[in-house]
Amino acid sequence: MNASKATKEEKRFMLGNEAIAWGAIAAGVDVAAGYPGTPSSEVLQTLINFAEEYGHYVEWSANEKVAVECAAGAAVAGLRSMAVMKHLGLNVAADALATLAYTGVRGGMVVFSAGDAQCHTSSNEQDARVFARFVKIPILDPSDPQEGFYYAKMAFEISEMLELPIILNSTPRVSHTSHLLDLGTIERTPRRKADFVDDKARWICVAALALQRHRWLNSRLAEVGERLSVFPLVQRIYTGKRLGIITNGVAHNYVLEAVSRLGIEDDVSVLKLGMSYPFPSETVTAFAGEVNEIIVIEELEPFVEEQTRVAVQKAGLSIKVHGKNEGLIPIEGELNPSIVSAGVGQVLGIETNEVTIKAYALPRRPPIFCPGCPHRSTYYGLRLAMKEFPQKPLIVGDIGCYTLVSSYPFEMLDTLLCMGAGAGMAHGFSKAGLDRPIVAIMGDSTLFHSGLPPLANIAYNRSNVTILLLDNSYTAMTGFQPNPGTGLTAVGSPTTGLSIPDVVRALGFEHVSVVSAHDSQAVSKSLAEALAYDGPSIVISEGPCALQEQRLAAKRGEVRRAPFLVESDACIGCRVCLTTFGCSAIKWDAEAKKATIDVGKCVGCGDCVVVCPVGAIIGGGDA
Amino acid sequence: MRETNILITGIGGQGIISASRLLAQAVRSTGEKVIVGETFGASQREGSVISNVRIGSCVHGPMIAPGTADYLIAFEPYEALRCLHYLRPDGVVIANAQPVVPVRDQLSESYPPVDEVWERLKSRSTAVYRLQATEAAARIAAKYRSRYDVTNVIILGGVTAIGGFPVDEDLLKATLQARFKSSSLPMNLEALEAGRAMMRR
Repeated sequence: MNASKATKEEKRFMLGNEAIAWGAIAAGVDVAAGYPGTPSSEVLQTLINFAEEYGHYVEWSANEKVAVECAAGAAVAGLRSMAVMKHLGLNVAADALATLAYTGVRGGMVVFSAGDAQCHTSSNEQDARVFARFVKIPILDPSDPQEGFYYAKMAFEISEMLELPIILNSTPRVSHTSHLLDLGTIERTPRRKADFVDDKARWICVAALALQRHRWLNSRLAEVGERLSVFPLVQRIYTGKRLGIITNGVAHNYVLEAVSRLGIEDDVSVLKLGMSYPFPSETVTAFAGEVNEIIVIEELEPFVEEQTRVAVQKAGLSIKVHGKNEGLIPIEGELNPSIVSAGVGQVLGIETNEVTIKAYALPRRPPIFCPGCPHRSTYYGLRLAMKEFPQKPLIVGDIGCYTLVSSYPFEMLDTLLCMGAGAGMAHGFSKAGLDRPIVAIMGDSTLFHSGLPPLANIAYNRSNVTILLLDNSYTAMTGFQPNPGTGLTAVGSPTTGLSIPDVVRALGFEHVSVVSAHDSQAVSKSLAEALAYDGPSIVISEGPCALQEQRLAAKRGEVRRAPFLVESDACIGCRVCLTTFGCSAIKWDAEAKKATIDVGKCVGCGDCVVVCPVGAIIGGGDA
Repeated sequence: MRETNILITGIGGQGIISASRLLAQAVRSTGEKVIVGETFGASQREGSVISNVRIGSCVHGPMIAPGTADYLIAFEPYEALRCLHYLRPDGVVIANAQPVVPVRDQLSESYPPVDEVWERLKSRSTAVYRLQATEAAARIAAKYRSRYDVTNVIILGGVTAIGGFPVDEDLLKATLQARFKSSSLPMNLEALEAGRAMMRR
């Protein structure tokens, strides 16, 4: 998803992620680095789109840790910097962030993390606020795109004031919501000049010096409440006494809607916290003193709720604090106005008329490989190769479009954990002595993100694992971003792409084969040889992302490739093309009992030709 | 305080996100507050997509609660059924007639017959409109020798024919004129008119 271009002057209708990028531009960000991941990617894409105009440096880094370290270098040198990632990227960057809190920074540094309550497109829904407390870095939680803009801008100032990096926390409903925004006029600011202020006791963080810095960090965090009182991070709405509602982040919107749906404007007071760590205890206890009881409405963990309990207990108040504790608000999944109305209604003894019509139980429509996708042909080859082994090989998965090997008609995936875990866990299965052939799948972007260490480990410690590396030249699932194998920088300038065969040979792999992804027979043959090889082996299946190829071809004005056809008289209705290949351009004509090809969808790759046992799929050439 | 909730659904690649942005652009030109909440990402690859368009000064969050959508606009009939629980009791359904059944489900009976979908839609709403938008879009694209799929503009054109819908024909026309280059504008205006013509039948 490419972020749209915005004009500079008027009010603009834009995504939360675009607003956050504009907040950074308005703050005069000098250096921005990130790794793509839904729902975060449009932030860096917007910074890329306007890099030339505003003069900041921007890159897609190899992974989130590298992005944070890039931003840290710039911020230690006195520049304003930003690192951009999804919530899971915080884990990758954790090592750098946890100690960066001790050294602190000189220029403002903001780490943007887009969470995924509901696991829309992620493997967990961990709460970035808990992470922030763990690494002792302050976190701001905007509730909508307009606040995304203000908070992003403010975060740089706060960071510089505290000399600490700041985490800016988003959710899909902030990042992927569009509002009409008034950003004012954003002028290009002069770029800051980098300098290094020698201070060994600060920048060399180890042992006794590190302990000193931990003391510094704690005293700095203790001052946050006072120092940040000038920033508008707390909001009070309504003045009712019966129930105090404390909200944080996106949940605030659902609270406002629930209050108006329940008609309880006169019964409640709302306290909205824009920063959840360090916790504004004094603000919360003052609020608690004004209301009869409290309910905390927040997404995911009971983070504000638990800190509220601690704060009121410390203040000696005996006020009831409702929330996730009693199951009024769920910990799992995202909230909505109905859930919040029901929870608040229950505390106030109001019968809520939430509509409880059940959704019709239609089988899910999962994402699938696009027509022409090189992965489909590669996996067809993998299935052919697997047939040659008496024991079904274990397929150890990884993160990317190629994860869809879990879907129909392949359904071949055995495990999926996190970025780089395919090769890492495959090694473990092998060393555990699992008596099955083991295949780890990995993509090109994942290789550079977190695949290099497990591959070096496999080669060095000699496990009997076959890597199937699907190289489609881009980080495709998140929007075709370039990676170190692509040969293009974030802003589209040519650079030297790393050769994956050279890289894996250098890591110690001796059995390396390279095949065309669109030649499923060759993929199958190479995989069978690799699986038979005693020791680490790798098959690199090369074929650029079909969607990106089509976009580039359209840009170049190339003629679309002619669709293939099913020769109806020749088709025997065996359905093998549907049940083993499953391209969405091939359809089943239930009346004729034959396969047909949707000419509107077929991109003319011809990968399906070899699948038909009677050669009924024909065609090829230019339209 | 009156709010209008429009839920747009369909399959990744059908132009749902563009349709919701087009609609929002039209609404905001009237000065009304509008919020769009989208679900995309992995859903781009032919998965289910939902876009929430919410209009009114009292709306805050992007999510339409079940049972509160005034309009359910579906680019595919099964996706209309999947989202039917969002519709309020007297809400309006506009759905494209062309079903798209995933490959897996073409070979089993996991999806009900499409006739049953329409029955179920009609059992929840007295205002169900069925548009042959896919065929019309193919015809228009062929006429203009274009790669672009105008299904979304045809459906939006159809919706503007419903009395009380927040965007009328003139407003949508003006929005298309502001949005599209002169080269692709005629095709989009024809798509709008094709949608309206279907509603007259």
